[in-house]
Amino acid sequence: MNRRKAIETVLFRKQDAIVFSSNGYTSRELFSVKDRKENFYVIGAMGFASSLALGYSLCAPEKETIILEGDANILMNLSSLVTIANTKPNLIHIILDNGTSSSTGGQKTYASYVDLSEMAEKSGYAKIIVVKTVEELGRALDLNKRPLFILAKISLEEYKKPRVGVHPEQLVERIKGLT
Amino acid sequence: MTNTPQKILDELNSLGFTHATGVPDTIMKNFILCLDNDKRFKHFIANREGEAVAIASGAYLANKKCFVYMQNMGIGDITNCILSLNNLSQIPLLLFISWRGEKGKDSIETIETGLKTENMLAKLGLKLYKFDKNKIPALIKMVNESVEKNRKCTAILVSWGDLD
Repeated sequence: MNRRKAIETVLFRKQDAIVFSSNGYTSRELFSVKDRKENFYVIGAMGFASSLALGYSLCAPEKETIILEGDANILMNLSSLVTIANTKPNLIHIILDNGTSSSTGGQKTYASYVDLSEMAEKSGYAKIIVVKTVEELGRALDLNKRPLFILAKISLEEYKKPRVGVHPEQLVERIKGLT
Repeated sequence: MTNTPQKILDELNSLGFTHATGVPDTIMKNFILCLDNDKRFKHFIANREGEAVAIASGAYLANKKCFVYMQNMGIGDITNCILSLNNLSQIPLLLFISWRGEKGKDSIETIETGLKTENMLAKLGLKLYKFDKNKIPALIKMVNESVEKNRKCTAILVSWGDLD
């Protein structure tokens, strides 16, 4: 499964969900798969997409909210796992794990040596699942326990992706229009 | 007579604040205790200051008013969020920042931060106010207006004893 297929699967299964994507290729890829008003691209604030999504979800529990972030992003803000697990939001936390910082040139991260799913489990997420194919990801998205942690192993394949073409101020206006 | 933390919370509540997040500090001990006992607010402890700023920003995106409290030693931790999220996207927040090391007095690890606090916050583009316990409603209203009308992150600096 590559990043694009994983994101396509998420958007296809969760058409109404609010999606917060981390900076770098994750946001670029989401933007290029489909721009929608429910997408909030966190193009700056590296590591904090999960915390931003948590704040949103705690204040809009009626909305199904999804975090899409890379392994390097969660490694930068690991304490977020503990906060999310213990505030029990209506959140699906998806890590797109290719073991590298793709956006900055493919440097290897520590995600290859540590088990992020075990960290999520020990932090107290209601359900943790590791997936390697789009079929497994699709089934995982049907699970109804929250917060749900999905560690999605993706391939390293990379290609040129456009930058997010919506100004951050517009992103704010359009997501505020949904609650 | 109502105590200082309660007066602040009453004013925040009347201005529509319903959520709070932050990283504790001794200067704010009583304030946080009051906040925990106040059912008008949903309060989430954060593990680091940048996380608190991001959580409060997420609340803003859901049209809820969430304030942040933190110590000035955490200014470094909020820098990336403030510059590349809040200022860029115009997500304005109200922050209570305790001023450790103010005027060069306090435990030694806080002194340099204390002396540079106003400068650092100004460089981040935050509008600053000094807490004044004799002007609580007027001050909080003014800060709230700065947040909402100017859409700027605005901080109230609190000193030792201010919130007792």
